[in-house]
Amino acid sequence: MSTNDQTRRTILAGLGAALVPACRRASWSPPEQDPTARSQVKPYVPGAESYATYEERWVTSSCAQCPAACGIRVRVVEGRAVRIEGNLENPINRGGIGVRGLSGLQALYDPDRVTQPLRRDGERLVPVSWDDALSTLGAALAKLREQAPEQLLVMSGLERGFSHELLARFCRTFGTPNFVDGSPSHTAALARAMELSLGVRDVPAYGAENAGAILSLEAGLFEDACRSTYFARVTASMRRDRSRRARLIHAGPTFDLAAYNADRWLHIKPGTAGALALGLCNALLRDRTYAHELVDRARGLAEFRALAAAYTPERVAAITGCDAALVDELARELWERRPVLVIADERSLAFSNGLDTARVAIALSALLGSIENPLGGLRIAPTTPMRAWEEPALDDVARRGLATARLDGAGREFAGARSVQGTLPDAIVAAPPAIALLHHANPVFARAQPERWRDALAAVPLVVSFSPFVDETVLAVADLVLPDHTYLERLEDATPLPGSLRAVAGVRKPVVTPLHDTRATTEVVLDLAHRLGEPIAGAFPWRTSRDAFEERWLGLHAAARGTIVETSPRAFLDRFYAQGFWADDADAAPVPVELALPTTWSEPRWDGDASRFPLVLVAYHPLGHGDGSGANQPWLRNLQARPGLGAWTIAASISPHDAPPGVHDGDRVRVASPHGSLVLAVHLDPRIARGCVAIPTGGGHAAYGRWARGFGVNVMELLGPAVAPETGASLSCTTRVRMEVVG
Amino acid sequence: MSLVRWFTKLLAPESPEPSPARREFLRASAALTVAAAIPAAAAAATRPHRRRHWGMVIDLDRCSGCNACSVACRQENNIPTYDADPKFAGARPEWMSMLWQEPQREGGLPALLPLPCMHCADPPCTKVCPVGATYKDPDGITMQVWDRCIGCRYCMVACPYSRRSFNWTDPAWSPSEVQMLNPDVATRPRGVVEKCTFCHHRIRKLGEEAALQGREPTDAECQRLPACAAACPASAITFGDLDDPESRVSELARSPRAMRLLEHLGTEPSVYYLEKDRG
Repeated sequence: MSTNDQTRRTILAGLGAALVPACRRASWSPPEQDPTARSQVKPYVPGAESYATYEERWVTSSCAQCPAACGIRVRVVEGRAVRIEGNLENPINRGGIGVRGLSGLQALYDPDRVTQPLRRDGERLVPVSWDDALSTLGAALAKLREQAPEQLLVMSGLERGFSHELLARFCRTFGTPNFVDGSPSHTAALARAMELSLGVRDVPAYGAENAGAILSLEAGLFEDACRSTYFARVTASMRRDRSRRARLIHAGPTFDLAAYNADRWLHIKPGTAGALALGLCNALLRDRTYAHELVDRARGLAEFRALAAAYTPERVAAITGCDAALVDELARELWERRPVLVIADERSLAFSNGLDTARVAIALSALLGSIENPLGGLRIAPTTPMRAWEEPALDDVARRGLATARLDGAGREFAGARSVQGTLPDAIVAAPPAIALLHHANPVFARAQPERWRDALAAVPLVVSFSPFVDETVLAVADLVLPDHTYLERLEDATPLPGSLRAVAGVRKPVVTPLHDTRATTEVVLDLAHRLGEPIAGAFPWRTSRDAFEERWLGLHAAARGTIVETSPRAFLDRFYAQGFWADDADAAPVPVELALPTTWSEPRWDGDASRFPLVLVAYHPLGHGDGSGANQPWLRNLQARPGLGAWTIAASISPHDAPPGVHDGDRVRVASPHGSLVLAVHLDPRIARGCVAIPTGGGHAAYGRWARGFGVNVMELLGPAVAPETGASLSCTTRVRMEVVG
Repeated sequence: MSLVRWFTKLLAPESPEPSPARREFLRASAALTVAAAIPAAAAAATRPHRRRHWGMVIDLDRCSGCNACSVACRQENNIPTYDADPKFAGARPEWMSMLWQEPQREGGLPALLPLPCMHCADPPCTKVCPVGATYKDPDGITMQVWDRCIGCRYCMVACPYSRRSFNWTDPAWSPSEVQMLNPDVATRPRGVVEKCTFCHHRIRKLGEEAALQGREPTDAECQRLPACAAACPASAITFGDLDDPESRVSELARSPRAMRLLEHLGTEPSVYYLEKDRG
């Protein structure tokens, strides 16, 4: 018995020894103590049956879900992208990533993408081959160029980047001045304010890392996706990573994430932040506590003094609704905490006085010594040493076409604008262009009065969309759909929205092989240029768009500085692709600037009769699906548009004092403006300013896939066609509304 | 012994004290391992790893409420998404979510709270599970074995933090969406309770990689290990070993701002919050 026992024990011991190496992978958490230990056994996941080796790699690239262009790393298992993380090395986001960046996989694997080129056959869109589609379009373009090249309209939702520049180059050589760009929340007005004040037409860079305070003038710091990741990082750091805590002061009418995060929230009426800033300027000038060096030699100082002097604390209190005593106290605090980053961004520009407010914000920055101050404040965005493409040669046809007047009135009626979107529907109806190309643009959903856009574009004989998704414009008016890849399938530059003090150039790489029969729009543009023959083909001397891009990236190589320095161009590009970005060695050094001070500021103007429409509408881009371009991604839809609202809810927030009597939280109400009406849920919000209604954008899709369609309402239907007179910016906060109980 | 207790004991994950024979076997295996002079990495791998008490510190003064943690969690853990249909309201599985808390007193300010499972040291949920589907892992993680759950939802009732979700329907992914599922995390069928695992699979993976190199994972490697901590743009979430007094997470948990949720219940959560400082 005992011998048997001994033998058994010996055998077991031997077996154990043999098994030890085999089990070594599983032994960090001993399996006998953990019944889920299955390192050797793969968990059940639908679709994983087709995996053979689970071979895994991480690909560095750049995000394109918003213009911030954060660095990302994508985990790819046997050719499938299964995870997106932030790239720790990239100075734009340093490992952090926002909700939109994280949801990119849902754009790639959207089950309702356009899987191949389509052409319109009556009411339906039917498949067509790439060859047929391109030869149809190529022939139409060639014919149009012979007759009237200016009748080509190209709309791009982008504002920067190589694909955007390729399209602009195409328009120029083709001979059409009608290249209309800009996203719905476009930053052109901010760039114009910088040009008028500091002589540099670009969005400013922000120096917040060492600033003593941030003053937000109705800016959407944490929600408008572009900069939310940046501000999440810098506000955390300015609170906890320094010996002296910096303060975030936010002035705004609604309790959004900026108000939630603020150390001090100044509850003001919508569109009045400029008056507050002028009151602060007045206090600083009066007490002679301002940065003399830049301001004393500024243009328009005397007029600005007179303007500011009119904004006494009492007048500021009357306009903004905040306490008069606060103005002087805040001015002293800001002076003591300088440099201060004063921000007026896209959201601040949505009011009729947006440009004035942005200019006053720059003036306040100057008074606080916070312009081109290496310690913090507003900075001129650094330029990236990218090589320029050779200027294309223009023939007579192109020159004649370019000399014609623009459809949108930019540069004429709108002297300070490069593009005007808001005037286009009427201009198209008056004189329909022959061909319209739409790149990253879905005006039949995302622009004010979508129906007006639909009717206008319906008058264009050939509408071509490059959208990878079946959006409203594709469904309603596109005659030809040439689907682009998604950003995880194509090669392009990732030119970030300026904001970083360090020049950064990112690259987007194909992370997976294209899922469908789609084609990069840059390749399509090259193909069309080559089909059109000389002189257009000569302006596009590249075989593929990769050649065109590499030509420009080699400027970074020639600069011989930054994170990648290599002897040969090939070695530079290899490392550039592998790292996913190039960044300069250091933050840009301050440059000397000349300041021009504003001479006017006007109170916000509202469209509609105040007696019939007593409330003002604040349409805002919610965290997540934003203007609606993220609405096909259910992770974004699942987020609360505002803290306190439920998931999957598009609701009108209103103060309980302003709501119709007897209305309870969650009831259905009708919100009517002079331009339309919507029925939606009401959210009684005790923190919103009296007299206004806030409704998020991005709801009410009629198309755009299963996750977007038929959910919520589209606030764009309430807006009027308001266009800022100077900048041509579309204004989303100028409409008066009323709220009624639904019978 | 009642049938239920017998059944529970049968399935109980925590092994009782090893029997003498088993102890002998383990000792012999260990001795032979050393004698066999297998490569150093394997030797290190067979060494029982250092016990941890995994914990998390969420700094509310850094958190901006951007929700990156909750979306990163959905992505990493194959959490199904249901559409806007009101029938799903309150029934959508969530492991890490942003809790909106109205102020407790007049004039106070509301708070946003990223809310993962608290991984209590003395969890009420594990005690009520009749089948041993949920249990306390020796490293401090409150685990849930999907395959073992019978869907009685006692644990959901017991959890004072409402950090457990029930799958009312089978998750439905289209053939296209199936391709983005994380192959490391099993999906859960209808009728099963699911919850945050502190990204247990990522901890395991890191541990295995370190073990192959003959070392323990370092604190720096652990700080951003769960998907939520990795994504956070504000670096508000720190993960690590609460038993290691040198770790960053222990250091933060000793902060005077540190507090735990519903501490009076005695559940001993492993998730600490650092209070917001309103300047």
